Amino acid sequence: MSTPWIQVEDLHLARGGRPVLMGINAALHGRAVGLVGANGAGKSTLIGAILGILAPQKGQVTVLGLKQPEAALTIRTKAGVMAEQAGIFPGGSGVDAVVFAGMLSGLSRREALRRGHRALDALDVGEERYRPTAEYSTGMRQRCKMAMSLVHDPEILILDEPTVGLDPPGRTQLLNLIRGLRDEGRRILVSTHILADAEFLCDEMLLLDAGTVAFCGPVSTMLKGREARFIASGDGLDQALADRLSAAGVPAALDDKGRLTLAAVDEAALQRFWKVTAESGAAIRKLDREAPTLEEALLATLDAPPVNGGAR
Amino acid sequence: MTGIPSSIHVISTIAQREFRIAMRRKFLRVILVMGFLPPIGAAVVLIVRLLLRQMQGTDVGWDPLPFLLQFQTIPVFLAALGLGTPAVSRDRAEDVLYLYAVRPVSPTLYAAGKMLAVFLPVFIVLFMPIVMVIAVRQGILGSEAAPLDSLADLGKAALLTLGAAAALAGATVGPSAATKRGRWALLLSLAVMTLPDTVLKVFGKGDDWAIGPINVARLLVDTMFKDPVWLPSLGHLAILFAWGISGFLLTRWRVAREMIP
Repeated sequence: MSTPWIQVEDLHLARGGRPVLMGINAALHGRAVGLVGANGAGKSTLIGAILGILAPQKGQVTVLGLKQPEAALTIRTKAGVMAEQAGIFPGGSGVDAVVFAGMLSGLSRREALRRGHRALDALDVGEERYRPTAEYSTGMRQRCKMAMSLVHDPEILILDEPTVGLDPPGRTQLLNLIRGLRDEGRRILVSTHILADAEFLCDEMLLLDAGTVAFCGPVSTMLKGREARFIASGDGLDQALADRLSAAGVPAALDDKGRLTLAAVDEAALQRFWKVTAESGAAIRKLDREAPTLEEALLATLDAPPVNGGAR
Repeated sequence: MTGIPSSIHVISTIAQREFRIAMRRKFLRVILVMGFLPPIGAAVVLIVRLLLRQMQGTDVGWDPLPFLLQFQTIPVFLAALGLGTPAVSRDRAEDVLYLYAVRPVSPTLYAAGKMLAVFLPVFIVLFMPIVMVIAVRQGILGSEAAPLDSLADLGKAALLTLGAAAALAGATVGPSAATKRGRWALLLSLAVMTLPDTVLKVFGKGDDWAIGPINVARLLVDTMFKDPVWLPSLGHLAILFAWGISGFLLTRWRVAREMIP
């Protein structure tokens, strides 16, 4: 197995006397890792610990093989961060803010200007880049923030709610850009509430629940064991049929729209389903397959009891 | 990808940006230009002195340097207020301190950059005209103005301007860190510059004593140039630098609390 680019070992961190992270253990290998969890689960605090901004009471964080807090400045130089709660450097235009961000990360003014324009071009920010940032729409602010995080060509990207406030075309464009960056070889940590974004971008998930790790691993592992469901609609579907199907080894339930939901269905079960429905005289007009969603998998994971010192 | 930037690079980057933003305001541009007018007045005084001596054979003995220093405090004071009071409050209001924290910028470097953005222009606006006046005085009066005296004046002026620039930076940037509104920062800054001396006056110590940076700087001009006495001068300098250090520490402490997610 490859070396994790972020490794967190037994991390305990309290803020204002309140424990926020309680024994976090995680080894992130994925090219893009989704950091998900409810509000207050500890996502922002974990990002703060990864960047060496917040000092843990106990535990160790290693990023790209560099240990915190000794290598905090090096890690911050190698990281591009798009923060949700923070805005854009005020008092100037978009390009001013991006150039300033680049210079703070160590670029000369000339180099920051060159790379800043390139980043803004990639994000489709046209002449608006010369307007004061105070006049920017939410979407434009998000693009500008993204350019600020990219200007110094960082090795890793930490994105906090990158698509919030974007219209659908803008969201798609930004997601494609992030995916492109991932495919170029950059490591990305995306903190998001929009699970569809996480599903689109990430190959690994870190799910936090009340300061503990609820899941850490590949998305495929999370979805494993959650077979597709089938939704059958047609005539003659009733509770008696559902009971007959269940008795025949095809777990079925009738919903309030008169449709049958078949869970955990394999090929043999499907054949039994067709046989039982034919015998009962029901007419199946439509049979839809529903793939398991990440949201369902996450909710199911959160419902599972914790194991192994906080990790489920 | 880049290496870790040096502290000097980070501080100067922050200071340059702050200065650039401030210079977008016409008011500040006018103030800074005004800062170079008193030397012209001082040169006129010296020329009149020279002409009177040549025409009437008497030397009126006008030395424009102390007067210049008194007048120069006005544009310098206004420039410091304009540069310093929005410096940190703007970042706090826009909630961008975290953006510094996620980059290789510590609260110390941030505070130093903001202080430098006030210190350097104030120092230049105060010191350069003094250099010009001393040079003009030396040039116009020739052998009558002893070069050693001019050098001593230059040294004293350098100390004075260093202290005044540090004090004004501290007394404007510090209050800016204490609030999220530029106008409140302006009022707070005016208050910290005037209230201590008002209190002293109430207790009848206002004539010989001063704590506020402007009045301390004025007293320093007197104790350095008009009636040179070293011990009070050093005391005044210490007060000015204490203002600068206090402003820096207050800013550093305040932003460190907000440079977190």
